[in-house]
Amino acid sequence: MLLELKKTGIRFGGLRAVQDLDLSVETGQLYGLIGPNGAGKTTVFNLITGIYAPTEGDIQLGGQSIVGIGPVGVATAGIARTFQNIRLFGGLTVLENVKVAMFRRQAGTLFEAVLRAPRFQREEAEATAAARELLETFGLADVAGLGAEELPYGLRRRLEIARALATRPRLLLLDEPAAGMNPSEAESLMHLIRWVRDSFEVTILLIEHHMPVVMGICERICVLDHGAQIAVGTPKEIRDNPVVIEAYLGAEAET
Amino acid sequence: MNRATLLGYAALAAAIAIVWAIDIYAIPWTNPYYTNIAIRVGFNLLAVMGLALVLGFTGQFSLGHAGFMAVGAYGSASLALYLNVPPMVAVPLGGLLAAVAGLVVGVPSLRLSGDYLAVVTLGFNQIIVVLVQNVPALGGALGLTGVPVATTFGITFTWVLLGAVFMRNLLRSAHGRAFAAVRDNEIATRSLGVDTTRVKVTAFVVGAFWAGIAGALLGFYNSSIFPKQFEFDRSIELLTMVVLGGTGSLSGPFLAAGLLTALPEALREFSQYRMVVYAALLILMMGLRPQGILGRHELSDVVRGMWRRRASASDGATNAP
Amino acid sequence: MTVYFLQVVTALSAVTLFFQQVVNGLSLGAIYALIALGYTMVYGTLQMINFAHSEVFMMGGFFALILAKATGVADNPTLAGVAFVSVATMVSCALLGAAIERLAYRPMRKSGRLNLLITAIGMSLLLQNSALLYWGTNVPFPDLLPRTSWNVAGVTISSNNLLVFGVTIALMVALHHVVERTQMGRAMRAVAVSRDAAALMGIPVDRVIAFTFALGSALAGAASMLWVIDNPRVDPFMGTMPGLKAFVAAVLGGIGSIPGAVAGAILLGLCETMVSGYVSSTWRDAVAFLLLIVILLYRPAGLLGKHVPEKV
Repeated sequence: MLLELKKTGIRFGGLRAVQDLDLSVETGQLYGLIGPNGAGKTTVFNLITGIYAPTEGDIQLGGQSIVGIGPVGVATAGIARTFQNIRLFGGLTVLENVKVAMFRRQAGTLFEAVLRAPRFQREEAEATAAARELLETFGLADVAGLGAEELPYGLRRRLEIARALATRPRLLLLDEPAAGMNPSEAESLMHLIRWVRDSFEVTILLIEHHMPVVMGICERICVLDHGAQIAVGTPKEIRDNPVVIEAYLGAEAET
Repeated sequence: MNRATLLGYAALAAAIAIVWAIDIYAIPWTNPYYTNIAIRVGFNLLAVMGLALVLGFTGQFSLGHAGFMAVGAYGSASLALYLNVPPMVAVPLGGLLAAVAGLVVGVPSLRLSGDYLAVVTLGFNQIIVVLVQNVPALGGALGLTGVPVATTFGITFTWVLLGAVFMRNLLRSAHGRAFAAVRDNEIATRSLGVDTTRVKVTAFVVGAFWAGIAGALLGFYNSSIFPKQFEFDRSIELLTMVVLGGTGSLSGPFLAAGLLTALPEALREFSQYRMVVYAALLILMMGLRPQGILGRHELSDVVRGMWRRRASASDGATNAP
Repeated sequence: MTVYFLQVVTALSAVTLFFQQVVNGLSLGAIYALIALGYTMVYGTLQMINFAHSEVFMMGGFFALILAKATGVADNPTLAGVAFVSVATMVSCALLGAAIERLAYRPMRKSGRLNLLITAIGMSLLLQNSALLYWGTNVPFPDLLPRTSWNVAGVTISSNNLLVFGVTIALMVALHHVVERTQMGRAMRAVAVSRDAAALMGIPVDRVIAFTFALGSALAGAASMLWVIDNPRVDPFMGTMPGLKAFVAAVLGGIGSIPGAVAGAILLGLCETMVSGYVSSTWRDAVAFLLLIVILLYRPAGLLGKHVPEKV
């Protein structure tokens, strides 16, 4: 078991945004987290990545608790993520965005950088090569020198995934990767995600609204509603689960 | 060491040689009034450089930069006065003392962000000034006099060159990218395992170091230093230079520092009106060019852009990239 | 017996010293509060530090001087005359504040907070140096009100103290009424919550912002009137320190919060006079800022401010 949430919950004042959540993601799995708007999906991501500290329960990565180690600690432990509202570094180029993710592995000191010392040169060349390779596989090589702000929307999502992978994570969290995409774009993204899982040997937990995407690629799905788990199982089990249908239809009917 | 690096070192050495050539062959025949302005521009270049790093590249709103100049100035002057440290050794030591002050101030305050950080740094600035005023050995409110005179044009601009190369190399490195990442999106930076507090403190300490150098050189130039020179209005002047020059640019604030140091001198004819005109121009420039003189670009980009446009115009190409 | 008596006297004088500093501190804090309200209200609606606010306070001093001379109140002060000059000073400051907003800040509103800040700094320099050009430094201000003081159990309370308390309390009550009870006050609060949403609801945001500046500036005008009655001198740079302190007070209390600004100002005023009384007035400014730093490190949004974490 790679990631395990045990009776995890968080309160904001009187509001229980997430409660009693048990979630187990196995190594290599492609796991989907779905639920109506406001169900608490992004909050779960924020709990896992240490942006929020759970008020109840425990979160473990590879059997070790990652509660209280903060976002930097969580990232160092091997969890990378993307954001629902894309968070790129607008003032940096596409290539530089990816290279920021390698900062942690670069040992060169500030003085070596200033003096352009051999170790700095070597690490810089390595980082550039690795980042270029990653951009190549994500079809971003042609835009490597462009400012991240100049990228079209679809490519921004790709860049964010590439950047997250550059940290060499064990677990990748994708927050609505297909948001704002048309069906054919979402389709190609779906293939990309599966391919990423296979070739980078990374476990993926994703939040998604596009049901075809989720049902198409996830091996296991957890459904949240009002901060609580209402179902968990294979895509087929979820599709046939009356509670899930009720939650979604209920939510649809309200809006 | 590769060729580009060696070339870089050679270029720096050549530039320093030119500075000293000017110092030896031109300065003695130059009107001391202009030399004085040039040297004061030099101090501001050094001071503004650090703030450009903190504010422009790392996005941290500091209003206390002059406090670090004070630490550099008083630190190095005291070393020279009381321990007979040679001034040119005392200058880098003054910078180091300012860097330590930057660490002491930065570690607690960089947990805050935005305007709160601005106020806390401003507070530290004033605290440093009050501390200095209350220590008799530092001359109190009357200031420290009899500081040995050692700063020359050559020394000032050697430091400016060293500083500029330091900054340029730093910004074009993994550290430079980390600074920009913190500025552009702190949460995303942390999610990549980059300790943003550490990055911010680094920027703060480096910025304080160069402010300290500026302060130290200032003390050894004027032969006296006063607490009033380092109050928060001085910090605000530096902030103005960075914003006017362009946040996210190094040469922009350099230009602005030159401009804003020389402008009051150029307006000297209007004597009593000059500060009014200065203030009006400041407001006007902010209105006309909100992104600052160079925005996020460097002077070299602009020159290159002009060159490219000219080249493509002579080629007859109309739609060059 | 004598030793015992001396001990009692010392203890008593320690108590009176303490209460004397409380009176002085409240008086100083009240003036800070009047200025701090302008900072905090403007911050609430525009999220900008209005650096020129301290210069509105300074200009208030000069307005009061000009008005007092023009109306003859300077030579022949009557209570009604002084009241008239005070109100006219507040109105002049309100007009000045609104004019600054309209001419300098409104065109800059879209170009980012740093630019707005630099514009405010430019405005502050412009006002300071214009005042310097026209009026020079250290201009004497006429004595408008007779000074008396009372000794209450060893603590000296001056008529000026009472004036400061009375005026401040009256203005606070009036401000509370404006913010909580009037249409404009409701609009101000709406703009503070969300400028965009307020605009969508049909609130004339520009007018509300101008009104906020006018209101804050009028309070600064009242503060400068109280200030010059107590320290009868006006100077182009007289606004710098009280302005900075008032700003610190606003941040201390939680910038954007009206009760916070008052609480921060009173706390700061008390703290400063306590340090002056018990340590040394030369350390006063350092302690004010130290207090600010300590409070912000423990309560990053100030005493009564709400910390709003960035939404992820």
